Amino acid sequence: MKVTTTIRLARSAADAERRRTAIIAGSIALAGQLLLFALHVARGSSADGLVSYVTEDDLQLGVIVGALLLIVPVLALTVQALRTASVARDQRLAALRLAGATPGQLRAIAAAQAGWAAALGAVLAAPAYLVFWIAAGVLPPSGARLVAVPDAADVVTWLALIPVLTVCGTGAGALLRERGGGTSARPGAANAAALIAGALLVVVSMASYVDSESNVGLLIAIVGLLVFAFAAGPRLVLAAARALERRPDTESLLAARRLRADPRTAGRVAAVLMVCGVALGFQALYAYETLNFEYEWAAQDLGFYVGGLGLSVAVVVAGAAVAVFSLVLNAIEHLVAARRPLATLAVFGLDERGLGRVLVRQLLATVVPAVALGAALGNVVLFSLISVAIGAWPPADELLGPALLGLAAAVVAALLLALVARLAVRLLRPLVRAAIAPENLRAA
Amino acid sequence: MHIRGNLQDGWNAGRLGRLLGPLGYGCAIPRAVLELIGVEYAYTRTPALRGVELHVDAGEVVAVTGPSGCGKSTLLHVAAGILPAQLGVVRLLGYDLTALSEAQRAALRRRDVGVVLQFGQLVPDLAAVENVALPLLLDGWARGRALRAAAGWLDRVGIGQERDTLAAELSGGESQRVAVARALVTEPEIVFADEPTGSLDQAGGFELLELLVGEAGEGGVAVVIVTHDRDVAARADREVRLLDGRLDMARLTR
Ligand SMILES: Nc1ncnc2c1ncn2[C@@H]1O[C@H](COP(=O)(O)OP(=O)(O)OP(=O)(O)O)[C@@H](O)[C@H]1O
Ligand SMILES: [Mg+2]
Repeated sequence: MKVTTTIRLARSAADAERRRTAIIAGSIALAGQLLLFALHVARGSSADGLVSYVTEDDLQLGVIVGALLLIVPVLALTVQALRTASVARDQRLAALRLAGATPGQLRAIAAAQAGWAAALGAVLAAPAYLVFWIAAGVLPPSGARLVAVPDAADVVTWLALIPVLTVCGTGAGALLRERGGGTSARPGAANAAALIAGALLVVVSMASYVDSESNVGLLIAIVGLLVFAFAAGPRLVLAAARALERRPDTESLLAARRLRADPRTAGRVAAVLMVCGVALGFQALYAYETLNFEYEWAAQDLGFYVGGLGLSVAVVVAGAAVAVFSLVLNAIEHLVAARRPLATLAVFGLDERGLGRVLVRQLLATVVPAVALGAALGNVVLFSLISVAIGAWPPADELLGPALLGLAAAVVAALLLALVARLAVRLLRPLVRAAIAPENLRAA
Repeated sequence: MHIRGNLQDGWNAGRLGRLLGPLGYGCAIPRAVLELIGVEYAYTRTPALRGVELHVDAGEVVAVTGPSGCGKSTLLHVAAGILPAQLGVVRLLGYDLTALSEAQRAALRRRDVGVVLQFGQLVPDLAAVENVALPLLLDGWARGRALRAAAGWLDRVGIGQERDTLAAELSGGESQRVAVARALVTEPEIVFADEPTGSLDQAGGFELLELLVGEAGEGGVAVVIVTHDRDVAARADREVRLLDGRLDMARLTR
C-alpha cells in the first residue's frame, strides 16, 4: 500500500473520529507541556520572581515529580482515546477489511492516524506551554511565579519533542489494539504479579527511604505505587461492580454489567484516583503538621508550607479532573455505540432519568471506592512510615489527628467527585436523550 | 405506572375482553387489540404516514409489507406508541394512546406489548436470560422471579443452554430467538415485529417466524409483523400493503 493511500484512508470526516483525534492531540499537547515544564525546572533556573520550589535544588525534585506524575492521567486519557472503537470507526475498519485490507495495512492506517494526532499535539504543546506560562509565570505576583520566561532552550526542547512524541504516538497507534465488543479481559496472573511487585516496591523503598532519606528511595516508591495502582484498578472496579450487582434495582444491574464488560478503562481511572487518594492521605498529615503551630519551623514560614501544600493539592485535583474527564468520555462513547439497545430499553420505559441513574451509578462505583481505598492506603503507609522512622508505633493521640484529617479529606473528595459525576451526567442529558431516541430503533 | 387503576374502562378490550368475548359479551366489548383511524405522521420534511386505517383483532397475525421507505417502521412505532400520531387516533388494547402520558405508554408496552426488531436490540453486556428478563425487571419484578420466568422462555424458544451467555457473544439467529423470548415473556396481548427475520438466512428466518407466530398463536397473542419477505407475509392471516404512506390494499388470506 502506498503511503499516500494510507494517509488518505487514515483521514475520516466522521464526528466521532474527529473527536478522537482532538482528544489524542489535546492530551499529547498537555503531556508535552508538562514535559517541557519538568525539563525546564530540571535545567535549573534562577530568574527573578520565581518561587523557591523551582529554584532550590532539593525542592525542584518535588516539582519535577509532580509534573511527571500529572502526565500519567493525561497519558491514560491518550491510551483510552486510542483504544476507543466508535461505531463509525468500527464500520470503516470492517468495510476496509471486507475490501481486502490486510491486518498489517489496517495497522498502518491506525498508526498513521495516531501519528498525525500525536504530531499535532506535539506542535500544540508550545502554545499550551505559553498559556501555562502566562497563568503561572506572569499573572502571579513576583516571588510566587512557577514558570520563568521561555528561553531558547525551551524552544530546542520543544523542537526535539515533536519527532519523539510523533514516533511514540505512531508506535502506540500500531500496537494498541482496539477494544472489541464482549471481550472482557479479566485481570490474570501478570496483573497479580504487578500488584505484588508494586506493593513490595513501595514497602521496601519506603523502609530504605526512612533509613537514608535518599530521594531515589522516594522515587522508586512512587513508581511502585503507580504499578500497584494500575494493577489494582481493574480489580477494584470488578469488586465494586459485583457489589453493585447485588443491589435489587435494574439500574444498578445495568451499571454493574457495563463495568464488568470493560473493567480496564474504568480501572485506569480508578488507578489514577487511587494515587490521588494516597496523595490526599499524605497531604492530610502535612496539613496537620503545618497548621498545628506546635512546630516552630512551620509557624515561622507558614506561607512557604501552605504554598507547597496548595501546589500539591492543585496537582492532585488536576490529575483527578483529567481522570474523571476520561471516564465521562468513555461513558459518551458507550452511549453512542449502544444506542440501539438503549433505545430498546426506552421502549420498556427506561427513560432519560433512568439511564442517567445508570450512568451515575457506573461513575460512582468507579470513583468513590478508588479515592477511599487510596486515602486509607495513604494513611496506613504513612502510619507505618512514621512508626519505622521513630522506631516504634507512635502514640495513638499523635496519629488520630492526621488520620481524622485524612478521613475528612477523603470524604470531601469522594463527595466532590460524586457531585462532579452527577453534574457530568446532567451535562450529558442531550446525548442520553439522543441515545434513547426512537430513531435508533429503525433498521440502520 | 398505575395505568390499570387510572383507566379501568379501557382495560376491557385487553385480557378481559378476550376472556369475555366468546361468552357473549363480545358485542359490548371491542375485540380489536389495535385500531388506527386516519393516522398521519410526518418527519421534519417527509410525510411518512398519510391517513392510515388499520384494525387488528385479538390473536390475529398481520403482515405489513411494502417497498423500502414507504413508512412501515413508522407505522409500527406509531402503533406501539413509541412515536406519537400527529393526526388521527391510535387505540392500543383499548387505550387511546394520545390520552396517555409517556410513562403510561411505556408501562403499557412493557406489560402488554412485545417488540422484536431486525437486530441489535439486546444489551450486549447482559446475559441472554437477563435480556429476556428486562421488561419484567423494569416493571419492578424481583430479580429472582424475573430471571426464572425468563429462563422458562429461553427453554421454550430452544436456547435454554445459552441462558448465561453474554448477548454480545450470541449468533444472529440466537439473538433473534432471545428477542422473541423477550417479546413474549410478559405474556403480552400484541407483539410488534420490524423485519425480525431480516438479518437471518432463508431457513433461519422462517424457523424464527414459525417460532414467533407459533408461540404467539398458543397464547392468543396478536402479531403485527413488518416484512420484505413474501414467504413471511404468506404465513400471516392477513397482509397489509403500504405504499408511500397509504394503505395500498388489504387482503384477507384467511
Ligand atoms: N428520522 C427521520 N427523519 C426524516 N425522515 C425520516 C426519518 N426516519 C424515516 N424517515 C423517512 O420516512 C419515510 C418512512 O420511513 P420508514 O423507516 O418508516 O420506512 P420503511 O418502510 O420502514 O423502510 P425500510 O423497508 O427501508 O425499513 C422514509 O421516506 C424515510 O426516509
Ligand atoms: Mg423499516
